[in-house]
Amino acid sequence: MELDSAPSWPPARSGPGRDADGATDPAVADPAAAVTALYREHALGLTRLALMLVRDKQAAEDIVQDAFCGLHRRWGHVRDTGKALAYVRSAVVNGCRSEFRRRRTARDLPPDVPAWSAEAAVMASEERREVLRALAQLPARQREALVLRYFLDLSEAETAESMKVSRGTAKSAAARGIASLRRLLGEES
Amino acid sequence: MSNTQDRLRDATTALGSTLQAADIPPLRLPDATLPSRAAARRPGRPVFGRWLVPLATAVAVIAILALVVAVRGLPTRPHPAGGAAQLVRWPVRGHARWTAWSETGRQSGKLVTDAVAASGPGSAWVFATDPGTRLRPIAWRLSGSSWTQVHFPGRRGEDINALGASSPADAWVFTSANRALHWDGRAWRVVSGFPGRHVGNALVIGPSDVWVFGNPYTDAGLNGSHTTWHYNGRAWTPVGAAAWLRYASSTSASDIWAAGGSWNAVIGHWNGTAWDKVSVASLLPPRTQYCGPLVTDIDAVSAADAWATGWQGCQDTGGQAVLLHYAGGRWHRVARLGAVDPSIVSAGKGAVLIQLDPDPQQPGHVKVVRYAGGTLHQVAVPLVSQIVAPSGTVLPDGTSFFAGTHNLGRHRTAGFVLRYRP
Repeated sequence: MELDSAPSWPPARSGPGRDADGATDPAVADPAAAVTALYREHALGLTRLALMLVRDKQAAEDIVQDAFCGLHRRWGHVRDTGKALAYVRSAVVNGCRSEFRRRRTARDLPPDVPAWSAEAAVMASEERREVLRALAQLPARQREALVLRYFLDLSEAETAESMKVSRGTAKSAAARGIASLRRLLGEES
Repeated sequence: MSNTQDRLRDATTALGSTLQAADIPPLRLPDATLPSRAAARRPGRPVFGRWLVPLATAVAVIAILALVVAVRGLPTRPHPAGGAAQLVRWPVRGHARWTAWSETGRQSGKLVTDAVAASGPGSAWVFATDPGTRLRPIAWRLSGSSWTQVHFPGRRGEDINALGASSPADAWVFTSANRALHWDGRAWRVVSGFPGRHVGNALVIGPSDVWVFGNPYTDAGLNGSHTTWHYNGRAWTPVGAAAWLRYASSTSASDIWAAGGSWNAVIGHWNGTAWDKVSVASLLPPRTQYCGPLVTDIDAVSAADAWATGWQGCQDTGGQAVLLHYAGGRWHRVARLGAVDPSIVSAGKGAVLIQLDPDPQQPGHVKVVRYAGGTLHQVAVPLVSQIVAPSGTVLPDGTSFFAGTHNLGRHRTAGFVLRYRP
């Protein structure tokens, strides 16, 4: 893949695949370059997102790879390339849900936060482990809402769009997630 | 760490930082992912076979569409080519108690209804925003049988946290920007001096009698508010006795029911002079290591008659839900609602309409049931795939409005408003 020739992201658009001068949009002309550019910019953040949701580094990487491959496959059907990031973020959330279903039950998930070498020092704090353990115990939808809102710092509307639910549902899931987290952390009086 | 949200941010950021750019493998785009007619051909596959599946699919889709049109009918008006979204009457057959409106126009399919409230016989308010562009909130007013878009001085990205109305000339909105706005029958105006923050719900008894309930668990990134405020027409006063109450419903200025509490299992009643609070924890499903039961909604019928829903709030499974009824001076558990997340759509004497979200992990399949005479019946509701805004105000005759999103197919949705007349 020739990364140096990748177009900047998001490509400006003034019509279906053409700019104001009638030149072909490079993102439309070369979907692979456009998707790769998007991946270079956002793969780290999206893999971190998947890691929060599935607690498995390898699975997180696979989910993100699948999401971008899916975007590439469907590139011709993406009406607004400016929304490609929202599309792929939603695909990552959906991929994490599928991973949960594939493992049948939450008990099949890793019992604690991941323990590869690099995270040992950062995660040394027992308080952080306690928070992540509590987060892992939440219902999937609440966990998604909280990770999207507080880790990715998405707006309420973006969170709803990523979860493919209404804003009211996303808001409710986040609110209940915080309430549950408070209970699990013993913060509620 | 100062609060739950901060602790969550710190822990997730710490975990996220264990992954660095160098850990991310390069993107592997297999050639097979490229759309290729040649790749789609299979050696030895008959030409007819290639077309059989698409042909059968097309026939099935056309048959389903014809069936949907036959059952539901077509929209009364074609979608205009441009302009802001409109709410137009959506014909529904076989639903005598229901009237439906759905959005149309250029923004059709993008709006998410945020709040709805009846403001009198034949009048109501609904608010919506576009989650994609985060435009300003849009307000529509129902007058008779048609909705008209009304100028609302909202800010870009501002959310409607609460809406309440007592008459066609008295409606209040509380926003995510901690602003209070009032409709006086002619225009929406910002009310200066509103001291509240993180408003969750509002109860509008009249222009000089407004209760505002804080949302302790706001997702705005900071701890929310558990303060309840009262407006007497001149000043806002914090009401300590009503702190932590979140959901409220009333029939008059001296008959207000509210639910909440720091453990979400308290129901309070305001008789005009004092709040009387009682715990209903013993009526809710049991608290366990992974379940935190809570009252999810409440609806008043009279000072001696009210309904509430409770939910077990268990991780992953959600848990069981119950219906509570206040009669004879105390709360009773009258029905088990199953493994659902419940909220009340409309309540009346002897009957209550409840929205059930059967699977929190599979949103979009909401059911509505009616409880009356000791039994539960599923209610056929037009259009509903998801209710996001149960009525903020139920009229004395039980008329209520609620709003949500219905599925138009091909991953397209449209906002709707429903009116239910018992």
